[in-house]
Amino acid sequence: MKKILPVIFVLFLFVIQLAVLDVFFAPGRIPNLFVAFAIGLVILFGFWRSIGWIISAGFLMDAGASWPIGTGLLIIVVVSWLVEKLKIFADLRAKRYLFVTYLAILIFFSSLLFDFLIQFLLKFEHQIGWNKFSSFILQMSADYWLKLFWASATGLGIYAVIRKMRFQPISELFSGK
Amino acid sequence: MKFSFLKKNLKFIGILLLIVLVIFISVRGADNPVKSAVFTVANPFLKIFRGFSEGFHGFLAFLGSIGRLKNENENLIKKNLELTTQVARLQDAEKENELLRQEINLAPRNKFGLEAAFVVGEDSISSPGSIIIDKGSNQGVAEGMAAIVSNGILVGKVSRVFSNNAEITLITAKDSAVNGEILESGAKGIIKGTYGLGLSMDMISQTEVIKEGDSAISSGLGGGMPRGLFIGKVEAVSQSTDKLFQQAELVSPVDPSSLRIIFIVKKF
Repeated sequence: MKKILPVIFVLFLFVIQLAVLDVFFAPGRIPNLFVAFAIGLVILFGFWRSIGWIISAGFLMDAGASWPIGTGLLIIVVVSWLVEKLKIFADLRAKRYLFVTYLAILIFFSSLLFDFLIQFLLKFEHQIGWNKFSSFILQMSADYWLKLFWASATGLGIYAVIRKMRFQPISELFSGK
Repeated sequence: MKFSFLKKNLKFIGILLLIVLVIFISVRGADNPVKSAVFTVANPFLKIFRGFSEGFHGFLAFLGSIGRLKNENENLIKKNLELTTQVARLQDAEKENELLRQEINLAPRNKFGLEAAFVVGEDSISSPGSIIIDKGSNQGVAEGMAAIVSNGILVGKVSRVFSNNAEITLITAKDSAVNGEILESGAKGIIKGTYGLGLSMDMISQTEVIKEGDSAISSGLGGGMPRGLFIGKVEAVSQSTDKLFQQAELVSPVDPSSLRIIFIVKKF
């Protein structure tokens, strides 16, 4: 049962992102939970141990979005990989408050980077004729900064939950290890 | 140096190439069935969670408003008396309205073939201003159909259809464009969303006279949408930047964030 909990948690994030957040948050301020989830995993377990979960989260994010499947996934993998490269600074876990601040800032800038890169990828997909419908325009309004703030806050919550859960690489999930 | 980077990150580059292949396959038609399957499985959970969160949100709003309830109650009693007298007047106006609708060739609202649908989610990541409903192609919903609320107010257009779900792009979304008309003057234009914040009607000829308080309706031009769906009231009129056209800012009577049930106009 404990092994299945992470699967349920990822599906839970999908439902929360799609059906719940817009009830409580104003439009334009809704945080991207999948980015926060991916960053939390990379900080806890490293990029390669988390890759299966990051791909699952990216796939679910794309399933609920209007852009082609794979678009958000590509960016979330790139952002997670870049975070892995920065992870050296995360050896602050003993200093709890410093670590929480570090994590919040990391999620804040990762979400910003995600939106920045997805905007370019969608423009590129438009140019090569792969995607005629969806576009994403990054607007640096107060709403957007609040969205990033909420992403950091919810990201800390997600990190606290996944720290308690037994997240293993997906390949080991059904292997009986 | 470059070669060593590639060698070190071969596995990562392999994953990226695989994902690019997924995008390539996805844009060639594999996208819709996959999303459709995900939504079909998730639909009951989306409905349950949405219902629960709306209830909880309503409860929180209620708790926050307890202090105001006493005053509101007194005001409501006064209003009730006023409204009772207004009802009598409005019944007469309704008859007149029906006659006027016939006169200016607006489709009678009760003749629309409507499909009621629950809002089960919002695409908050890729396109804020798009909602997801629990009806799709299996229920006869098709791309381009109009979405209205019960009293005939246009709220959006079906932009993507899955087997048991569909995505509605709200008229206030930045990608939305609807052919509109000012009811009082007959001026035609294109009604667009202004980044989820409101509506603006562009491309109105300089020769047309429009004023604050005029009503904007769907013109029905281009097909797919019936003529005469109410969109909003004119709040302000200005000139376009090139001074070739007039622009009007519109206010919709519907708050998109409070939508729970909508109707898809399947036949008109």
